[in-house]
Amino acid sequence: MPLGIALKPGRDANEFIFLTPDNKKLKTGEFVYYTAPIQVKEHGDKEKFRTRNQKIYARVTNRKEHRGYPNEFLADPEIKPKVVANKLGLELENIERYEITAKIIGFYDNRLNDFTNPRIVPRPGTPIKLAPNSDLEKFLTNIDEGVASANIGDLLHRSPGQVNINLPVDSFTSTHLSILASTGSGKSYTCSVIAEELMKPSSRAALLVLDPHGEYHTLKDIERINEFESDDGYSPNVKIWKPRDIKIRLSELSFSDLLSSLDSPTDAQEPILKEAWNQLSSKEYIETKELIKKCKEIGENENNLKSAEALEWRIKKALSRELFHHSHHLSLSELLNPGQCSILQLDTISRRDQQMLVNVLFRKIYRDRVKYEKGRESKLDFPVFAILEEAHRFAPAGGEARSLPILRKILSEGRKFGFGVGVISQRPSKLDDDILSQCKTQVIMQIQNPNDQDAIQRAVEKVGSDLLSELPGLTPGQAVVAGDSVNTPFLCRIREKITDHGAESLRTSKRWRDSWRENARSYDKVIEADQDYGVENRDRYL
Amino acid sequence: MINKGTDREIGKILESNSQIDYICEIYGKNDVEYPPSHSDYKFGQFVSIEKRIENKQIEFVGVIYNSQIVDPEQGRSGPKLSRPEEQNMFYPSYVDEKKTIVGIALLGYIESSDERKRKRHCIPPWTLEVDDIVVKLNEEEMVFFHEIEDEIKLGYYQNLLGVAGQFGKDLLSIIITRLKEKRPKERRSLSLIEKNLEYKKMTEGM
Repeated sequence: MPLGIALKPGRDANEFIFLTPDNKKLKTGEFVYYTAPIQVKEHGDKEKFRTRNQKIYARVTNRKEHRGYPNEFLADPEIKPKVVANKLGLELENIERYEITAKIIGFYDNRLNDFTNPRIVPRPGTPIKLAPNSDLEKFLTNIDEGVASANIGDLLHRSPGQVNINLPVDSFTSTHLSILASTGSGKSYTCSVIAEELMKPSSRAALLVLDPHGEYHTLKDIERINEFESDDGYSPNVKIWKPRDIKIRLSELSFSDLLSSLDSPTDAQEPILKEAWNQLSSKEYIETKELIKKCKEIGENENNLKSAEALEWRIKKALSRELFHHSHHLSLSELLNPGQCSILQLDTISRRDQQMLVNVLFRKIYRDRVKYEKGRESKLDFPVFAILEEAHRFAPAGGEARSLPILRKILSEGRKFGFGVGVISQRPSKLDDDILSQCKTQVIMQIQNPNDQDAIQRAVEKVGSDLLSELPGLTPGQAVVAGDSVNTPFLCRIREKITDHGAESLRTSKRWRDSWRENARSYDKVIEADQDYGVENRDRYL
Repeated sequence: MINKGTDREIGKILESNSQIDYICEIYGKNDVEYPPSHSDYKFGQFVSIEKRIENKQIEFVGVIYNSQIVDPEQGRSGPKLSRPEEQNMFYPSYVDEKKTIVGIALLGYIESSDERKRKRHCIPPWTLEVDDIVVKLNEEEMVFFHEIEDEIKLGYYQNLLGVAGQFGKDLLSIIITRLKEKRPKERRSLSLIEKNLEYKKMTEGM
């Protein structure tokens, strides 16, 4: 049944306006369609064209009142305008009419598995209908036969469960994903949903989660939930690394990593350190004292023992940090395996060390992936997907972080080598523009800060301004999904997690109340000195 | 239910300006034994004209929205030789022609058939005829005409504003005030319409 009727072309070439009495279904972001004759190529014959009636889909971008009750009817809040209208003989049902602006997406071309824009708006009088659920489920995302998909939720405009949203796993894990949302709007929840999907038997991902707040431990539940197991013996493995277990082996550092860890070495110290490092870097294990000894040797040979000795305390100070160890490290074969989700809890590690860790670890993974793809011996003969929470810490806009160069490299070239990154941030404006723009699939949730909205607009070209304007009004769990993994941007309701959520907001008032009660109890325990057990009563009665 | 009686007849149709805009000549003392008093054809008086059309009893309902007094002697100059009380004797035809005419805006009609009365607030499809008798309605009959589906309605609102012109808003205010008194339960919604009218009347053209 038509919901409206085409009225006229809109302001842009791909826009049209239609009239509707509907005041419930046609919200901004909803999908509608009309039919029009389109010339399509004959199957199997490149030269022949045939005219066929095609459904042309469009997205609602704006809605305004075309006709409604006069303002005078609305003068008394306790009197419904309909009552006044009835009194004056205006007895029409639903007198309101709305002008809906819709942006044409196009007809679905089965050969391209994508929408093709016919570049012509509907003729005035063309009936406009609501796009069927089945069409949307099929066309919004592009899931090829036999390809794993991640069910992240359903279409926000339809009733729950009517249009499931399945993202193609191959697409977003290779061309990178960004989840952008302000605090409390559900970004780590969404990220956990994606992690759950990646650990299902259909994907069995090699997943690495860098967890600066220790929120992802509940993913451990995956191991005991049947839904994640399959008949062929697959059962996912979730490993959690506590901060104390996370180490960088000294030999994994590059010279520039080492230099950046030291407190302002002088120009004279730098060549000594470089030479010492070059001589030791081929070794699998390097000890701090060994490096100091080597520096002294070189300093002595070059008649600059003073500089070499001055390096000693700097090296000791830098490398005595808990993160560095001469032999322990995160072994790739232990850390990354298909069907394994490895969570690195970084909550007690300093920001500088977190950056160093990402720098060293991601470089190591990237190198091994490059080796594998180039046919050389490698520990990683499978693609890797890493989730980077609080990504603005590791790739700050205009800032300096040890991890920024390697992240830029992976985000721009990782696709070729099977190393995808999921960038999660609550401050897109503080995230490096290159990093943000290289994430080809975006899940954007409530964002109110105008700077963050601008950053998204700059970096995410496929999200229309109509959907971006929805961002401040989204409630937790609602998201705009856009990018290469979907055929057109849309609003999504993120599904409920299968596992528990570990990132609830602190129940501050409850904690205050509990703490006060605890203090009050301990006050009750104070016993007057003369009433305490064993105290002799020496009061003399007069 | 509209009851007609001779004492309620106030005049007869003289001519029309449109399908719903009629002119009624008010009976004078030379026309009927008991001519109507001034309050019988005041501004805002509801009237009816009953006709039998296509075997149906149709009562056209209207309201007096304007008046005009006519004196053909106006402008005659020269001394009158007789005393004023004797002038009737010497100029009988002129005396007869001193008239009050009123404008009636038709608001709808009541169609009676098989003891059912169907009230319509609309332009009647039929026309009145010259000399059709105009009867005044009392307040209960006026309210009865407005009661449709247990609710007071003013379905003629726009038509009346169109016909009554500059007097339309005042006329509607008078009608609403009377309806409010008779139907206190609907006072609030009727007041809203009345206040809007007053606001428009005071602000239009400012």
